[in-house]
Amino acid sequence: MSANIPDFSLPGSGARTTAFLTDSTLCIGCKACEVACKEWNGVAEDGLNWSGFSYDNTGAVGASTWRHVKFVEGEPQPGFGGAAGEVSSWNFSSDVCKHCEQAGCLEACPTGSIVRTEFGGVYVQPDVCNGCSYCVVSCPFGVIQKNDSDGRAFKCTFCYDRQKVGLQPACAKACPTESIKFGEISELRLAAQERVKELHSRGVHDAQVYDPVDTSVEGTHAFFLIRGDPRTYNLPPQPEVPTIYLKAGWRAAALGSAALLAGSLVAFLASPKGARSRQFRSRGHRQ
Amino acid sequence: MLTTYRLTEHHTAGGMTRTLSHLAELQPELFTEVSPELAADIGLEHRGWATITTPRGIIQARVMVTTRMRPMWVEGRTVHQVGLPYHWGYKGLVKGDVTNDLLAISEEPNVRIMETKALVCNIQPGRRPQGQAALEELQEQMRRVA
Repeated sequence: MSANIPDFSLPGSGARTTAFLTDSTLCIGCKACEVACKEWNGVAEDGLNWSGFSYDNTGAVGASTWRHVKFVEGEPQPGFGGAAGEVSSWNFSSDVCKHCEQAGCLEACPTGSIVRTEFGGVYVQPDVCNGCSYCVVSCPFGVIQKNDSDGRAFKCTFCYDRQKVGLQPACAKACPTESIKFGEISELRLAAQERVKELHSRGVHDAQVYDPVDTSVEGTHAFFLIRGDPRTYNLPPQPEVPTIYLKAGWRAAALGSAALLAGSLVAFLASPKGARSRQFRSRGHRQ
Repeated sequence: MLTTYRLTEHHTAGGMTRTLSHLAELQPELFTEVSPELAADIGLEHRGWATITTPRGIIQARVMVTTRMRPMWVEGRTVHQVGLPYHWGYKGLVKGDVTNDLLAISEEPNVRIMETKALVCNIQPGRRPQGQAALEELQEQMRRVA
């Protein structure tokens, strides 16, 4: 390894905990991130179908689209100051795997294919994945998906290979407006707060940071700066890791088995009189 | 009123982007953008087909109804806009009618790229006829407006 490339090969060897800050107020909907992602990671196109849903023809983040630009068309509203004509809002936001602090996919993976990297990202090792798809149903954001051709699960790798050699992920590199920012997580969290303050001071009062730290997801490594309701951008307002239901699930299972056991005992003890008396009689006869 | 424009997914000429799968999937089909008012007026359906004609050509495109297109009020009458991106053709991973067929050839002197961007057109629901029938349909429409 050459001298100017830091060695991030081992945890604790100076690897930074990194994150994406995707600022939808800066996104121009050029989809350069989608293309850069597919080019770098060798992901094939997934259908040449026209959707008619604004300019979005790739639908959503999935096994073959790891970055996806959403197009949100708003109702026509009067322009600034009321003097301008009515214009429709047209918002864009680049979606990606959130790389949760408590990742549903990672917790559900039975093979150990999904791991936490030294950069804080969630990485699927394709050579270990056996295609059970437990992760698919465990993702609170609907990100990870099975590949139709070989059945294994795929999602954003957080450009682990690029980060390993000190490069930023391909999408952040390609973004022409710096809507996708990449860096040290605590610095980016501060930058996000600063940006919200700036937008509020400029009259964009509905600007907010989407980073579900108060839920069981406990924050993400890909947070978003959005306007208004997160649901507009296909982001769940209250994402939860499915394993929070484990306790209740086990308790219900234990109660169920206890009830079954009690039932069997009752059935045994309170068996029909005849059967019991026969038993007692035979015992008596022996005496 | 027809206006043509390029999409961000497309770079320079269509031949360079229609053959690239990563770009072709992002804008796989020629479409025309119309306002809900115009769509209601002449019966265009979202995701349906429309036939657009000018004295120079006849093409078909998928319909995208969007409030981003607004009818204009010009000299006491409503003027509707019909938006048409260009960049499709008869070759490539994704094919479609050639929007510039509707325009007179008028090249911009510096870079020799089509400079016409706005013109009058006719738009109606449904797909265009094929081959000779398309030409006859165009001539018929011209006779009607003459």
